[in-house]
Amino acid sequence: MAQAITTSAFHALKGTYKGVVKISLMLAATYLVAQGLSSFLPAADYRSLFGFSNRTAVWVIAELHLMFAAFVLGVPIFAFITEIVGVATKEKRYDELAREFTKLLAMAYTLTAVLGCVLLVLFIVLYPKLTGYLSGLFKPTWLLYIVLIFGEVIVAYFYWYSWDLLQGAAKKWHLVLGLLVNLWGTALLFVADIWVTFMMSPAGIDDANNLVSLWDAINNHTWMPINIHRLLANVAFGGAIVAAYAAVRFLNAKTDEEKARFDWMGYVGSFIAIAAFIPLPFAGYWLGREIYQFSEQMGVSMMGGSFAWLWILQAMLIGGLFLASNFYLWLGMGRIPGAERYTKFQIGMMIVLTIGFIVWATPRSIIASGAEMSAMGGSHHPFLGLFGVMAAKNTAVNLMILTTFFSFMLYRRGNRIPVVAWATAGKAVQALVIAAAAVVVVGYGVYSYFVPSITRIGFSVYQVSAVLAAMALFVAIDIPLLKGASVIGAIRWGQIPARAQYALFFLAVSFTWLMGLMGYIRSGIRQYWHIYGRVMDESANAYTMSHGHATIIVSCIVVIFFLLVSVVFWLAARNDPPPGPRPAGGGDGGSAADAASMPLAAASLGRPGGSGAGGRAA
Amino acid sequence: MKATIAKIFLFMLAVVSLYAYVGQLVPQFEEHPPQKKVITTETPKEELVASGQEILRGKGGCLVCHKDQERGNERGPDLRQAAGKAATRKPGTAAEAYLIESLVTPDAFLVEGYPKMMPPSMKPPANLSMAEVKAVVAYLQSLGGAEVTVKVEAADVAAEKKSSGPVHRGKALMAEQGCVGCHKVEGEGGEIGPELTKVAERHEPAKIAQKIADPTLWTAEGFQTGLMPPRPDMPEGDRQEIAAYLAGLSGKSYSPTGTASPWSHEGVRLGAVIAVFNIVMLLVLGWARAREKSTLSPGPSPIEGEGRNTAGAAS
Amino acid sequence: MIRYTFYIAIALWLAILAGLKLLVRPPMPASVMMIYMTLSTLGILVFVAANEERFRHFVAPLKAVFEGRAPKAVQALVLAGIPLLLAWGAWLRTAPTWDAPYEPRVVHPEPPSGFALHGKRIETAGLKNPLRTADAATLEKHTAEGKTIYYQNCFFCHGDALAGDGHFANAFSPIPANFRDVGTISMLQESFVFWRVATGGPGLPKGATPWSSAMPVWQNLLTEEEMWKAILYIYAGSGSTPRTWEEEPKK
Repeated sequence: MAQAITTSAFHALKGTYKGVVKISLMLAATYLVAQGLSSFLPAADYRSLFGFSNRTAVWVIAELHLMFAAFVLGVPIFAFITEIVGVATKEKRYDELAREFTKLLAMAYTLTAVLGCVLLVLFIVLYPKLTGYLSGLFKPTWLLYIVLIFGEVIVAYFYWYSWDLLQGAAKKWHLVLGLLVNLWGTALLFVADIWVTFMMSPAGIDDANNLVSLWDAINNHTWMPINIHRLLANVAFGGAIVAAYAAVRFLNAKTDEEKARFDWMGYVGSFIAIAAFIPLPFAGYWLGREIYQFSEQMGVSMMGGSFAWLWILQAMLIGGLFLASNFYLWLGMGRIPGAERYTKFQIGMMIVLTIGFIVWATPRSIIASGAEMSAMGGSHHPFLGLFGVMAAKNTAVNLMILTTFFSFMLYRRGNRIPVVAWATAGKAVQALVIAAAAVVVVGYGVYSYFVPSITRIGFSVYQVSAVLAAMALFVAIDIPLLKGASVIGAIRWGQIPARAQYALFFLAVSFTWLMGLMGYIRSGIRQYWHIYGRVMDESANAYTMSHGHATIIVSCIVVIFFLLVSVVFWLAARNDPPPGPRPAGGGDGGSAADAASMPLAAASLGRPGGSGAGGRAA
Repeated sequence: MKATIAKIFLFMLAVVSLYAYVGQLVPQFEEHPPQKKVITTETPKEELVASGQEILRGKGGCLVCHKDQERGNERGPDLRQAAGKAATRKPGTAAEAYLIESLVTPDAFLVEGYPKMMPPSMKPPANLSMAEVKAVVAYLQSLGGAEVTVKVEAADVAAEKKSSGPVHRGKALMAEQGCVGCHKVEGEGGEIGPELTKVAERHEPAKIAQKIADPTLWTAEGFQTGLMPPRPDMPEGDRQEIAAYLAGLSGKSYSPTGTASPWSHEGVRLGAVIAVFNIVMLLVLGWARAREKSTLSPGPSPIEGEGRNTAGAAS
Repeated sequence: MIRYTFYIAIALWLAILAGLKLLVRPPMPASVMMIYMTLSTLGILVFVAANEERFRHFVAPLKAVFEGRAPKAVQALVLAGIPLLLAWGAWLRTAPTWDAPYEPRVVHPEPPSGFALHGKRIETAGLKNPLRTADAATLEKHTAEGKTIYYQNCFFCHGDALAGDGHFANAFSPIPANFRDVGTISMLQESFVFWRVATGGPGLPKGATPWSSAMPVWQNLLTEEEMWKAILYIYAGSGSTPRTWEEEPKK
């Protein structure tokens, strides 16, 4: 026993050490290159990169670095959740799914670190003065960051290399490692956010920009909101990438078994992505509020100024995400025997989604010709104007979230018939809960037109609470309701039209694009400031570019990102043994029913593994 | 396989292009940062007055000796009365001409009771252009409540100098910001404050940058406390540049950007810590290897447990 | 029913188009119409494609036409109709019209951090209406004075009912702001309104271009106090309250 563990422990340590050496060498190289370049190049406040715009260079690399960072922070969260589900449901395939994605981490970490180092060099070389100021200000956090990087690399590599070592009885230690990976990763994110948010909403410095309180500078207005916002987005992003990977593999699959396996994987990935996506608008709302409180002017230039147009684009993207996820779920119901019972709800849900989308996409500033404007009686349309304001949009997005949730609950129930005695009453209460939440959302939405703005802002909290409470209550009833439910038939994993997989891929592309866009808005609202209101951008690139130009750059970043990700996947798959027959999905009926209940397993871990007992028996 | 991948790639391109296309549909405009104020012949009077005030209080460094409010320095005449008394100061010179002359060639006429100490405003430290001088005159005229008569001519604007390059401008900055009005550096400058050529030998460059913003930090021996005007309005970067320039005069290397000095101690120290850390990890690894060998030597390890066989076999 | 998915979808699409065109009064601008119709189309297509059976019935008629199984007349109609529709669309896009060009306006441009008022600089941040006091009698007095100022100056464009429909309103493009609209002054802080009143159309930032607002620079015609009074009145008269970021004072 002891011997075997020592052998594996050595290998785990060796693997971990490789990661440490990699990071050490990379840091050393960065230091040498940065110092060498800055002592070699003539001194300047700004430098350009071989005639290429220094701003665009930093933008592209920073955004790519951020996306990969989101990937390496999001995937461990995804893997950790899946691993827990695997332990809770005692199903091997969850563990294998988690393992498959953790395998990507080593490669992804390397790429993230390389991008980070390039970014650092670019900052030092292209923006020496600003970088000098910031690094002087935040010196302690830089040291902390380096310590955290090493910590993260050690824990994450060890997490991967000890996967086989810590199985069975030792599995709980592996879960602890998984938790540690995520804690370090989160800490890393929080530290990196300090610098970003300080540039947006500086605090803790006096009128002459000297540091007064480091903690105040760290804990500035937007730090916490951005931390939370990014954390949630990372989970959603990780899930979306997993789903996209599964979609690509599904489309390339040759056997039914492979198809079943990747169909299931795509489903799990998209589920986690959507679940993390739902609270994102709320976190975003908080962030917006903090921005307004930091600087009214910054808030107005974000929501009402020229950036208002980009929110239309954002509305389009998010609406598209909602449509695509519902589309995927409904198509997925085609492979669930018995789910055709719920097809009749689709038309109503589609109407709500489309109207919600329409309200959300209604621009605040309407483009109109002179004739149209005089016909409208002003720059505001008396009727459309009602849709343009935040109150209507909040209402719409809450309803869309509720609909998507309902859609998912129907999907879950697809092949099951509750057998408990109070089934009818339970279902009635569930319907009532959803209806009540909808009434609260719409009611407050309408009422908010009649109250002053400060009260109106408070209403969004009630709307959100109503939706969240309804979702929690619904699930709380659903778990006992479906306990031991009779199963109509097993899910036919793999029997889903190809367009559903394209929907998953669409989800990932849109999500990535959305991240790029939001990053641009967040950074762009600083306008011609490096550090808002304090340090001015005096370079030739201080201007705010046109939206068309910006969206093209964002698009290029997304394309480069997907190309790089495919390289990572390809490199990881190269050393893969040819996929043998695995006990995944398809064949056994029991796991099919259980997979449908998997999300709830994640929600209530205490549940004994045998909830899908009916299914397992079949 | 290849066809599917190509299809997926095209699908991605289509989605991404759709978003980029929508981005082209919204109104397109670039927003440029506000222009730095440039005085032209077209500049309206009010703006000229405002620029004049800005120059007088900032770049010109006039308030080191003069005052334009109730409170201020009285080494030179009170500027609130400058325009009012201008007409009668120097016989034979009109009010406006006198004001310009007193700025450009201050020694040409001295107000009684004041010594010869004002540096010409078109030379360093103030280094104003003719247009700027006229703006100051406009402000002085408005201060006295007189009509603003001064006019900026095309010739004045042409003489407007481009500001010097942005890099390592310490020396230029000291001239621009009026430091050399009081301090002597490299043999040039006033005597009101201490000599600064070797100041970096006495103080840390970073502290010098702070001292400019907050002169109460210390006062050189033999000089009056509170004489030096606090300049928190001077940008951080400019103060750092001055500190770096002064540090250089003392043979010290100090970089406000923190990067221009290669092989900073911190970087080397950090590198050493990381190297030590690597060695420690290597030792742990060696120990684990040794342990594995010693336990393995009796015979091949009995492989147990489902997950361990891969690693065991690999060794 | 499901057999006719294709025709129902077309009918629904036409119904939405007709509804938006005919039922919404005043007519909505073409740009919004475009957004709404695009999203409706998307909704219908996604709905149809989200179910295998619906999808099959939806594409069946299309397949019939393009595979040559449909009646000759229908085929001819579709194959001739699509190019004609596209040509018509192209014509609509390129044909010259008498309309003034589109004016992409930012309705609430970002206020500057400060602006010049009577020669001194006013900081926008934290600017409050000095006349908005808790004392009801004083407030009422100021508001009444504001009303007089409004009728002497603003009424001609912004109208008797503060609805942006004064006598001159139709002569302008953009036409004057309607204070009764929830999207105008009730969305804004008083500091923003004051900035707009004080600097008028010429004070609008570049971001709000091309904007030919005819609003005069009122600081040249009114005192600071008069402008604040007029602002008090437009809020009181339109029954709205300014946006604040602090809690409402308890009454």
